[in-house]
Amino acid sequence: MEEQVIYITNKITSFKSQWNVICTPIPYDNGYIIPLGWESELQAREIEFTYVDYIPPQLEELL
Amino acid sequence: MSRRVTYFNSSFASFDPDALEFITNWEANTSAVMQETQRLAVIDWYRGMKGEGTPNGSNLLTIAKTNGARIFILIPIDDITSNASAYELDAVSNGVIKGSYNNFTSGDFTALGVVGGPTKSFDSGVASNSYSADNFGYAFYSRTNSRANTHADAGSGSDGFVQTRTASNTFNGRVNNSVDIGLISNMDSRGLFQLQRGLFVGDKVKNGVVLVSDIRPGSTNTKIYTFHNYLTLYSPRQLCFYAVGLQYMSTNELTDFYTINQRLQSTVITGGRQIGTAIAPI
Repeated sequence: MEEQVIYITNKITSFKSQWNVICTPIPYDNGYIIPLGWESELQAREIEFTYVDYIPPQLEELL
Repeated sequence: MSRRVTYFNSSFASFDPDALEFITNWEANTSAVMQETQRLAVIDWYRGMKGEGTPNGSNLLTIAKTNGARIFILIPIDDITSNASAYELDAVSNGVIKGSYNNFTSGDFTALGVVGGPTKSFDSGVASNSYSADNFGYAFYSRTNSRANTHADAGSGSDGFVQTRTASNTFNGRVNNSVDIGLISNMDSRGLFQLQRGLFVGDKVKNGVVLVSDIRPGSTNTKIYTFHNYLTLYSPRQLCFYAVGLQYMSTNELTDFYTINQRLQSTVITGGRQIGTAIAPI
């Protein structure tokens, strides 16, 4: 099941949002992803981003 | 005179020192005043964890403290709203220890719980190998079902994960052993889920009832420390309770643990956020 997420090309340092949640981009497809809803926090830090469809792995791939 | 009686009862309930400390730390962390409904639920939870008003009177709080468990009871700001600051406090340490939310947005937090999704996780702050391999358990309370096979609600590392999924109606999971504890079919994925390992025994538990067991030993690694995910698997479910580092519980203790936490979910907001039958406070 695909789901759209924010895609960041360059690695960024984790930071805490105004709502006290840590932004921790996860490596994905030669870049990093975080959920939708973080746009304003990224823009405030002048971090460029785009959107991709995230396809989660199957459990069997992780064991 | 009636005002005086009411005042006495309220003060008596608030004498629980652990509940008072938790409320103080919660208010400092949120910069909010805890509302009466939530305050009474917190007091009731601590009294229950000390054996009051439960079927078997187990003193689970003392055991949890001894075991170094972390239990996140997710007390909201009021009957409607919440945020990460309100939900990140560990009740075993009376709110001194905090976990941390990663990648959630503010809309994920309501008085009903926390809705997960891709890349979102709650880190309990527990390091790997913090607990005994054969005296360990973890739990979470799920309020919603999901429709995919790839959703996982707790774990990290190959020796611990939980899947509770509805597309194929299964409850899958393991604890301190690389082999799953039986696969359970045809079940609802809402309620209090718990996995635990004792000496040559592992149990898969829902709502205080052991559904299936194995007779395997614990491995040397205890790796459960995050919720809403297992490695790169993420669950969209709404969770409203997490616990890690619980001791291996007897049948009576499992019953008491469910009673206490179903009671918490029944009372923590007006009308309750529990799944199934509500349990009244003490």
